[in-house]
Amino acid sequence: MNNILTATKYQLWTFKYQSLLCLSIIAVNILISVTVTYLFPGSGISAGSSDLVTFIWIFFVGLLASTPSFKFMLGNAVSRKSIFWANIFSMAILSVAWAVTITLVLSFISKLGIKILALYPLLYKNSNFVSSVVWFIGVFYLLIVIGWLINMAYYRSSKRMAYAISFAPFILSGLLTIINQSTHGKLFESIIGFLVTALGFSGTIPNPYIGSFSMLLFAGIICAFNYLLIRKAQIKD
Amino acid sequence: MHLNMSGDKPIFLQFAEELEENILKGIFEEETQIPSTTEVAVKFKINPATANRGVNLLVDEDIIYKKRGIGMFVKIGAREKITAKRKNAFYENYILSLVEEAKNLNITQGEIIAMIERCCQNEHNRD
Amino acid sequence: MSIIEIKNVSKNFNNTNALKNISLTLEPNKIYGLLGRNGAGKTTLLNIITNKLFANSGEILIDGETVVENDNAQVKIFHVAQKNIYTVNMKVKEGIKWTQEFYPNFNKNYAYELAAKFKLHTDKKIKDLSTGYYSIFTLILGLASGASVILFDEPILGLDANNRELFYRELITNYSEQPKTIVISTHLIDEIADVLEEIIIIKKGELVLAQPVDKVMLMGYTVSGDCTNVEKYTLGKNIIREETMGRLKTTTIFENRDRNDKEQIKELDLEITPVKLQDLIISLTNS
Repeated sequence: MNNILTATKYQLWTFKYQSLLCLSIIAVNILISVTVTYLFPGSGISAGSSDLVTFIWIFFVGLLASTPSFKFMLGNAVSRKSIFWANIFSMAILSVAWAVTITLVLSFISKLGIKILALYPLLYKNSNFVSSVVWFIGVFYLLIVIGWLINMAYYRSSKRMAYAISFAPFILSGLLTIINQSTHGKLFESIIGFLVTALGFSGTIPNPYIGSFSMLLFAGIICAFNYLLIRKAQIKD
Repeated sequence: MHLNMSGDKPIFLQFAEELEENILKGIFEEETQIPSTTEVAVKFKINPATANRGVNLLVDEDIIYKKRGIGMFVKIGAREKITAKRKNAFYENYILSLVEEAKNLNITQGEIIAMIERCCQNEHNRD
Repeated sequence: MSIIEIKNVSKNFNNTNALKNISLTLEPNKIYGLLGRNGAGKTTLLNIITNKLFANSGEILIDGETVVENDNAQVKIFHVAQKNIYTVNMKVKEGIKWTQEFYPNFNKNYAYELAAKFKLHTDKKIKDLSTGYYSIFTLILGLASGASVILFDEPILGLDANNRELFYRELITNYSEQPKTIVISTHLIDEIADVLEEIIIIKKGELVLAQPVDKVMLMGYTVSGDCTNVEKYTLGKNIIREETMGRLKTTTIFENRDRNDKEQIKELDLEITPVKLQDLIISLTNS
């Protein structure tokens, strides 16, 4: 148990540097928007993409941070089980911290009178603090564990398998398109229908809590795969 | 002190003998402290366990004793004991090989004795 | 004070046998030399002991518990490895701090003392260290780890003569003051020959020898003389090296000598000389 705590601490420490990087990008972004808005009032230019930046960033954290940490902790008497749980917890904490940060940033920007172009308000049409945070937690956690999954999949693969994985998305989407055409569009309809419900859009008022729950559920399934992949991961030359 | 790794003699024995040599020469005087096994092991790059074995050998032979909490000291009478030990070993270590070599070179017993006398004379003259 | 038992461990990589049925016990309070040629399997064995690789068969226990996926077991062992595991932006002092976090018995003051002795700048980024200083960094971590088993994999790579001397001194002092199990895997045998208590030789993945040093030194010797006489003596014995110069033959044997052997040597007028440990190892590991 102790080891998991220490390992989580370490993971969070590695996230620290990268978090600062992301924060600075966002800060610059805001600065530019503020400057533009005050220099050219009424131009309708908005501060966009702060959340998108974070989506991309957190995905890359999952993708790139996992292997170096894995090697480091394995070399410091930490078992793969403990490393797995350290990832789970540290990624969760990171998601929560950033969910709060982004929500605060967005509300700060809007209070400055700048128009926001962000995903959450667009989709769910409200600026409720709590629901925004909850929703962002879902997205962030899902994105970071997907990054982790892709990383682990490549790490465990031989060269051949790595090529297969790289081509898989294309082949998959090609297959789905073909199947969809043979069902006269029914396949994509049902997929989209499913997604709409899962993300909380089926009712009259969009529900971010359902969306967050679905994303976290999906993230949980991905983490199960991550566990299977990390269990037998050996160091490479 | 020089220890020879590829010699026939185990290191701990070599080390014990070197210690005796130094006691004999008066470098380590009776009732004075000798360096700790850690110091010795570090200085000569040998395993501390080896150094310990050598020291314990001398403790068994009553040449060194341990003062708890302080270290190891040369016992009174150590020089005499070492000298006696060496005298006993003199025959084995020196005489036997001398006679053997002389045989190889066909040197007679009489010639050996003459050489010894000559050597002693030279030593005496030098003094 | 821990004991490690390696039982019938085998490991394959892509259809090559890296380790074949290795069985070995690492007793507490001993300094072992793990010797063998490049690619013999030494690092593989160390990686399996430290849960970085999985054995294909066999098991490794420390104090009766398996080393596999066992945090409590692994914290007793510190691996001073060749591969750099320290993430891109970590400084030496951060490396020290984190090692302390993962190894509860780590002695931070001692680590900084050693850093000062070796002139290792703790503010430097680990990735900016030279090969020699990276070795110094990791061996300091090993010495200060507080682990009961320290596995040094080529600890003196890139170290100049002065730093090597310093390392040996610190190693012996550390070991003397706090007995533990130390395994040193290295090629430069002669410098530490006197420090080793037991020798383990691995050749092409197989365990060739695991004996105390004194015993090994007694078993290895060279006889030289007239070639017919030498051949008479060496018949049926374990010959590990032969050289001929005209009628003079020099043969190195690795086997115990008894009284009969000693007499025979005298009779056949052969000269017997001891062998340097490094030369012995070379002969034993040649194909």
